[in-house]
Amino acid sequence: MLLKYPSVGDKPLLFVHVEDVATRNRTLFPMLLDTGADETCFPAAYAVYFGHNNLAPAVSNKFIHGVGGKSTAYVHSVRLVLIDPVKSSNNSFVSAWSSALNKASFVTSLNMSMGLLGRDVMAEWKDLSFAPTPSRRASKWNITIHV
Amino acid sequence: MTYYENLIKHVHTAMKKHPRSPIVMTTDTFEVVASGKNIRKLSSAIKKYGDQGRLTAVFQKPSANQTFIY
Repeated sequence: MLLKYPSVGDKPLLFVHVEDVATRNRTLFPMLLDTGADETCFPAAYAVYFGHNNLAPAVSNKFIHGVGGKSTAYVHSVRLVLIDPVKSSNNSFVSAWSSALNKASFVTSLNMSMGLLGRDVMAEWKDLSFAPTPSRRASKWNITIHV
Repeated sequence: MTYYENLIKHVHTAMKKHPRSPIVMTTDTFEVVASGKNIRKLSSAIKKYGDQGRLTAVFQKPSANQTFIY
């Protein structure tokens, strides 16, 4: 199945359903397609959006390395769901694909308003491409995901 | 226009109206139901609408000066 999405703004950014594995609560959240990221991750401060608490005793943590150096990441049970961009409607969300990945890091030094969709999730797809829109090069992207 | 394209159109409209704050928007009526920097308040709005069986999107306009190298 080929899924085609217009980008959000000038980055290869798309809205993904982020689902809490335990409660199945879902929220649409913008994710940057980041081919340089080993793992999918989110800003630590946004864990509460998905019903998680970074300071709960059961939450494991680890260190992650990036441009900002070493930082703490809290690991939470979330799953990513791609919505069908054509079959979905205002009253009916059609899920096109769900990740096998069921946990992701919430990183303290990630000070941005979006998540990073990394190669751990991309590896579950058959193909991924994003190309500049011919009429608006570098300001808009067409994203195609083959699942 | 597909549903997703319509969603993105409303996301851009909301970002123009609330350029500095995180926003919670319903995904059926595209209504902004909460905005502001208080994450607890925003998460309460997400939970409230989720409990009603409605989905929300949460997002914020990236700063014009932000250049990402992640």
